[in-house]
This record gives sequence, structure tokens and C-alpha cells, in this order.
Amino acid sequence: MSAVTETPVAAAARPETPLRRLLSQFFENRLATLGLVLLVVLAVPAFAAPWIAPQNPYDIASLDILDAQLPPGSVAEGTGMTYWLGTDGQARDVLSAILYGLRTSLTVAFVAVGASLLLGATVGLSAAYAGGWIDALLMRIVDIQLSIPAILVALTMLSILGQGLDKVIVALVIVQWAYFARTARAAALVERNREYMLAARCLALGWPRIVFRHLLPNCMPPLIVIATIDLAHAIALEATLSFLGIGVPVTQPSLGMLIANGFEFMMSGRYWISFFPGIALALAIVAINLVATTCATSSIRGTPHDRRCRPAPGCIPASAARGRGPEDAFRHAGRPGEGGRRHQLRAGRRRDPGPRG
Amino acid sequence: MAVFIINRLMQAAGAILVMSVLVFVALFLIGDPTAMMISPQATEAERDALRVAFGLDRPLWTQYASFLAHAASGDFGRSFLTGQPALQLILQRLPATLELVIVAMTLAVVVGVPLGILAGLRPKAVSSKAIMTGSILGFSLPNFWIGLMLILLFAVYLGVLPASGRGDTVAIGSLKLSVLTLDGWRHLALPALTLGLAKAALIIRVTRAATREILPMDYIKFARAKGLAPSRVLRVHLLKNIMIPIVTVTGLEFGQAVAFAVVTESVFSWPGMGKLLIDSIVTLDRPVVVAYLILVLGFLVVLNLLIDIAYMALDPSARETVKS
Amino acid sequence: MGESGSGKSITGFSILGLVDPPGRIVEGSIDFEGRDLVGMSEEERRALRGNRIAMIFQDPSMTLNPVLRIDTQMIETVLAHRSIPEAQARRIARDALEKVGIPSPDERLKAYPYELSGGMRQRVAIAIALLNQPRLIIADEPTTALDVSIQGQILHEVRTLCRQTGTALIWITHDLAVVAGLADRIAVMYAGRIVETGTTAEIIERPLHPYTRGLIASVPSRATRGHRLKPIRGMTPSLIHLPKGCAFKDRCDRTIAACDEAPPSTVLPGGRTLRCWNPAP
Repeated sequence: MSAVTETPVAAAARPETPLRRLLSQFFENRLATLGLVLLVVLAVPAFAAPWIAPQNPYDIASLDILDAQLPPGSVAEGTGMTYWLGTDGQARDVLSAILYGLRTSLTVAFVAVGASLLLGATVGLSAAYAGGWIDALLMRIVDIQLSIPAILVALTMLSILGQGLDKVIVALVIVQWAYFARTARAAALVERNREYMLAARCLALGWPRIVFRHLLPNCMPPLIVIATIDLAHAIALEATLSFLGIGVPVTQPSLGMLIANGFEFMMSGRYWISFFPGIALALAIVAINLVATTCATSSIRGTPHDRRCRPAPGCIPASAARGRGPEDAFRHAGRPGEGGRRHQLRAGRRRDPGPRG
Repeated sequence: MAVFIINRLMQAAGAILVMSVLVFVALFLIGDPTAMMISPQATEAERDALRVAFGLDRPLWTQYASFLAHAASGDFGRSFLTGQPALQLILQRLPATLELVIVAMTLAVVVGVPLGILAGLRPKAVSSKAIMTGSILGFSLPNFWIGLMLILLFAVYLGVLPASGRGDTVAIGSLKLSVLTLDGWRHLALPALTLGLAKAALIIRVTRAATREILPMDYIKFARAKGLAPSRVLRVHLLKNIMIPIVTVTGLEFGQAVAFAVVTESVFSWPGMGKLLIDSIVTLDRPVVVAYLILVLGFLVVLNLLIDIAYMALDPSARETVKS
Repeated sequence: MGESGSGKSITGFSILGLVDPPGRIVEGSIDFEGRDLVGMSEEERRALRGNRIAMIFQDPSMTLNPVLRIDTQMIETVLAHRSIPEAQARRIARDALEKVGIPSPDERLKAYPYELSGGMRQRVAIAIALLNQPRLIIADEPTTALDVSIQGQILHEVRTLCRQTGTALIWITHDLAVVAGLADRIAVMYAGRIVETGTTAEIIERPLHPYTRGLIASVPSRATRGHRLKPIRGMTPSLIHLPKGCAFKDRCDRTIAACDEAPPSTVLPGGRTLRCWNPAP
């Protein structure tokens, strides 16, 4: 009995917000902490690249073409600088290029995911709040978009927009907003009927205030989970586009473009030009995924808040549509673009004791 | 059943129509394709003549209408670059892509399902954890990165497999296939592995999740209570149930693989239609891009329909729902 | 019989050797036809399951595999234990369906489970249990998930079938009314242990264990008309944090000092067993 009386006291002492719960569960997990540390170790030098990189690889004056394609550990003739990771075809220090490239990659990914979150959450919440034909129309658009592979959407966008950092960001936002919209809507549908929402409506608050001040904060945990997953996805997709030569411009190479630049040298054994940027890219993606996986699992553990992470019937998590979390694809829904019909069918089979007598 | 299929096909046709408008309008906004085809020294009059020749001077909607009328009869226009019909260009490349995707998906299923079941049966074993960690890497790392590493290992370091091209092909009628020659297989190995590994990672996860969901079901225990051999419980009672999500996801991933072949083909210079798409985007070859997108979208729609049918074949209670 | 969580089902599964990990049989023996089931190899136990010992589960909507036809699920049970042609196995399956009162068995054989009602599915499960003429059927609350009217039918049919074939029946239930009408002997379980056994008449008319008394006293009957029902106070203890000594002592009104030690199972004259230091007079 004593344990029962203690719990409410403890809870009252430290009110548990959905976000705090997510954070506390997060740091319990060693792998996730490792991922976060790794991410910081990569991100800090990347963003500090202009100040700490041994060389500005895009300042033509600082390059000596005689130093091109030097293996790792070589020393520059003129300056005596050591190229720890070698140099590329234009005599750029690979380490410096990686730092600058990582900076570009991370910036693009963060901005794109932030913008997608904003756009998607707005659309999703509005759809859930408005209901009716607006909801139906918006979700139909989301459905159609999710049924097209992300790479094709991105390629189409870039073939329309052309090259450029801003254009890559726009393409990524167009690829990703739909996942946020769907998740936000699912979360909002659950929240909409809670008492605090009723109270807000009784106070006759304006809808923007209700949606953004009351609804949005309570829908945040699943959106944050999707955002972390999408961060890794954005980095990978941007790298792919840049690797294909239709992403970022040559003047602001990201990791993907560095890898592409080194590709031609790889067959002749000068692996380092591609290999090290590749390792940096892989580390960044793995680090974010470690964080994301933990976010996703800890917020699905059976707490009341978590149910929000599981989309309402008829709604598919982003990961399912993209195939990133196929477990969810199985659990929640048959497949993208189809809504939860399968889900309902399957659920019907399992739970319904039998329709016919 | 027939009503269901017809219904779905009509929906699909509608979706493709809407998308063709979007793609067409969007591509119209791209820079002037004549710039790519004519020497920079050409006079404005020469440029205008070219625009008229390609019908680019007409209003957008007439261009679309004539595009649609032609598309209906399989004519997507001619490539600005080579002058060949766009559809023909793509169809020439289709076998190479399909070959790659089919081999990759087969690999993914053959590797993914057994590993997934293994990880699902013993979730706490070290081997299962290794499988799951590997699968996280498999689907989170970009496809081109995996391809690059495979090239580095097998083509550069070990030097046992070629890194580009399609190798010897055998022609059956107008169909050229790599899978019929040893050299073809050697060329196919790395691209198929690249594409297949990522898909295997997904199939492992689906299979494991499904196994873990089905295993505690009463009917599995009942099957054991009936005294069936463990192998029969596994092969019939478990497998028949987990096949439903596996087939669904494999089908969807097949579509994804066709799309992602764009990347794999570029890495390995595999002469499929994905490589053609990238080349066409870079050269602003509008008819080819439009034709590719519409063909692939059409393919995805048909694939979805096939998955639905397969789903009904596997899950008896789904049939009932469609009938009523 | 016993309340939820008292270990009835797990006892049934232990007999079949189907306890899921991390659970396992730690000690003791299970005697069946003169053999100890605990020491048997998995293969020997498998040969008994569905053959000499059959089981019927609680929820008929979950016992039949949804993607396999009824005939597949029945025939495989026959063929797992006998090498006979499939056609003969199908005849056995058909006859079994007929025996449990399923109309037009030939059509039902070709049906999928979702096409049958809950009561029908449970009949199929019973038919599967009967296929190989077992010596023992373990029925784990087979009527709990069904409508009351169907409960009665199933109960009646199972009893009749077992009488006809001389099959022993272990009927796991929490329903005293079912037990009273069906059983020859009763074993009462509490917190994972059998606390009392005896013939039905003995248990109902002269319960010795305070828990059994409490159970019987809490059932409304004509004799208790106008009186308050006497529920057993307190809650079922968590099996992970069992009280030291007798598991029932915190809820018992006959607790004595000795109850701090776990009571052993004692055999009383007439074959009754009891696990209590201070039984009812």
C-alpha cells in the first residue's frame, strides 16, 4: 500500500510533460547517448569549419595543383601542412573538404526538416481541426504523394527547379512534409477530443490560438520522433542527389558531391578522396539513427502519451510509407496510399470473434 | 472481383492523368530546351525556327492536349537529344532495369525472410541482435554509399568483380539479357547486391516483426498442442500468416526498387532506364523525363493492384470484405 | 477451479509440455498412463500431444489458424500421429465434425475459420481434440468466450462425448456452477498451488480450506436469499511477491501462527488432499 501513496507525491513534485518523459527515457539508453555524442562530435567541428579547418578548400589561391591526389599523411611542399586524409583531384585537403561538406549537408538537412515540420504540422493540424472535406482533400493529397517513391519526387522537383542549395531544400521539404502532416493529423485527432481542447473551445479562443498554443504542443512527441528519423533521411537523400550531380552546386559541395568527385579516382586505387567523405556521411547517418530509434521506441513504450505516436486507424506512420519502419507497416497499416484498410481488415480478423452465426 | 479490379483501374487512370498534368506543367517551367540543342552562336531566328519545329511556341494547354492525344496512342514525343521516340528509348532500357530489380528483390527475399524468422524466433540471441543491427545499417545508409563500398571492396581491392557496365548479353528476340551469361552475372552481382541489401534489410524487419506478432498467437500454441512436428508449425502455421505482410511489403519494395534503381544504375553505369532518366534530367530532355515518370507511375499503380490481388489470395478474410 | 491468475491454465500447459519460456517446469512429476511426462524427451511428448492428450483452448476465435482451411487443420492433426492415406484422414475429420454436432460437415471442412461463428469454431476445436481418440482432454475454460446458450450446449456435448469414449476430462474453469454440474472430482487452485482436492460432493458440501469455503460462500444461491453475499476480502496476491508462508494468510479469517510456514499437502482419509494448517471444521 505504501508504494501506492508515494507515487502521486513524486509525480506532483515534478510534473511530467510528454517532452520530459521522452528525454528521461532517452538518456537511460546507452546507445542513444552514444549516438548523440557522436553527432555532437561531428556537428561541432563541421559548423566551426571556417575557423578550425586546416585549409579553405574553396579558396583557389590556397590550393597548389602540384599537391593533387596525395595519399593520407602527405606533407605539402610549400606550406609544410600535413594532409591527414590526403588531397583530392584539385589538391584540396580532404579533411577540410569533409568539414565544409558536412556543414553543408547538416545545414541542408536541418533547415529542410525544420521547414517540413512546420509546413506538415500546420497542414496536419488544420486538417484534423477543420475536418470534413478540407481534411479529406488534404489527406488525399498526402496519400497520393506518399504512394510515389521519395527519390522520384525529389528528382522531379530538381529537374523542374534546377540546381542549388535552396532548391535542394525545397525538394526535401516537398518530399517530407507529407509524413509530418499525416503524423500531426493522427496525433491531433486523438488530442482533439480531450477535455483541455474542449475547455479551450469553450473559452471561445480563436482557432489559430487553439491549434498552435493548445493542440500543437501536445502533438509534439510523435512529430519529434519523425523529425529525427527524417533528419537522417534528409542527409541521405541530399547526399544521393548531390552524388547524382543534380543537388548542391559545385561551389558549395556537400558530402555527396565530394564522394562523386572522388569516384573517378577510386578505380585507380586513390580511394581516400571518396572513402573518407563516405565514412563521415555514414557516421552522421548512423549517429542520427541511433538517436531516432531510441526516440521511437521509448515513446512507444506503454505510457499514456505514447498512444499518440501510434497513428489512429486509417493513418500510416511516415516510416511505414517510406518503408523505414516496416514493423509499423505491418502493425498499423497495410501499405501507403491505401489508408488503414488492411489494418482494419487484419484487426477485424484477430479481434472479432466471428461475424456469422 | 472483376468490379473491384475495374474500379481500381479507373482510379489509377485518374491518378496518372492528374500526375501527367502536374509533371507536364512543372516541366514546362524548366529552361528552354532549345538552348541545349543548338550552338550558342545561333541567331534568334534560328532558335525560333527550332521552337516552332518542336511546337514549343504554342500555348501550354495546346502542347498538353497534343501530348495527351499522342500519349494515348503510346507516342510520348521524340527525344530532343537523339530524335528517337521517347517511349522507344525507355523501353529499350527497360529489360536491363527489370533484370537488375528482379535479381535484387529475389536476393532480398531469399536472404531477408530466413534471417527475419531467425531473429523473430530468438529475439534475445546474439545472432538476432547482429542481424537487426545489420539491417538498421542496411536501410539507413544511402544506396550509393553501399554501392561505393562494394566497388571498393570487390572491384578495387579484391579485383574480382567488374564495377560498371552490363557485360555480355544474350538476345532473345529483341530482348537482351545478362542473366544468361557468366559475364553478365559478374556484372550484375554488385549492382544487384547493392540494391538487394537495402531491400533485404527491410524484409528482415518486416519478417521479424510479423514473426514476433504471430508466434504468441493461440493458434500457434494450438498447432503445437495438436502434436504437429515443429517444422510443420513453422512452415505452415507461421509462414502462411507472416507471408501476408511479407508479400505486401515485398511488392511495395519492388516498386521502390525500380525507383531506386536510378541511383544504383548511375553508380554502376548500368544501362537501364534509371540512368537514362538522370541523363535526361541533366540534358533537359523533357519528353524522355515525362515519359519515364508517367511509365513508372503507371507501373506503380499496376503493382499496387497486383499487391491487392495477392493480398486477397493470401488472406481469406480479406476476400470476404471485398465481396460484401 | 480457481480465480484468474491462480495457475490453472499453466498447469494445463505443463501437462502438455507447452510452457512458454522463460517459464519452465522446475520440479515435480506428471504421471500419465504410468509414465512421467516431465522426464520425457520433446519428441516423446509431441507424440502424446493431440494424440493421447488433447487440449481445447479458451478463445475459439484465436485457436484456429485464420489462413488455413478447416480440413487442413484437421487432417494434419490425424496425419501427425498416424500414417494413413489422406482420404482416410479426411473421413476421420468429417466424422469428428459430425460427432460434435456440426451440420453439413462436408461443406464446413472446406470453410475458413472466419466463416464460422464462435460456437461453431469451438466445436471444430473440440472435434480436433477428439480426432485421435485421446485418453485425456484438457479443456481450458472452453465456454467462457461463448454466449450462455451455446455454453450449455457445448458443456453437454463434451460431457456426453467423454462418457461415450471413456475419455478423462480436465475442465479448467472459474465457474463453480459449471464445476458442480460437470465434474467428478475438483481441485481448487490458489496462487499457483492446488490447495484442496476431493470429489465434487465433498468440496461443495464440506469445503475444508478457508479459500474454498470463501468461494462457495460468495456464490448466490437460494439458501442465501435475503442475506448479504460474503466476498473474500483483499486481492489475489501478485505471484511475484507472494507473502511468506501460506499464500492465503492475508485474506484468511482462520490465520494462526503456523501459517507463516508454507503448509504441506496432506492426504486425508478417502483420498482428499488439503494444504492448510487450520482447516475449517
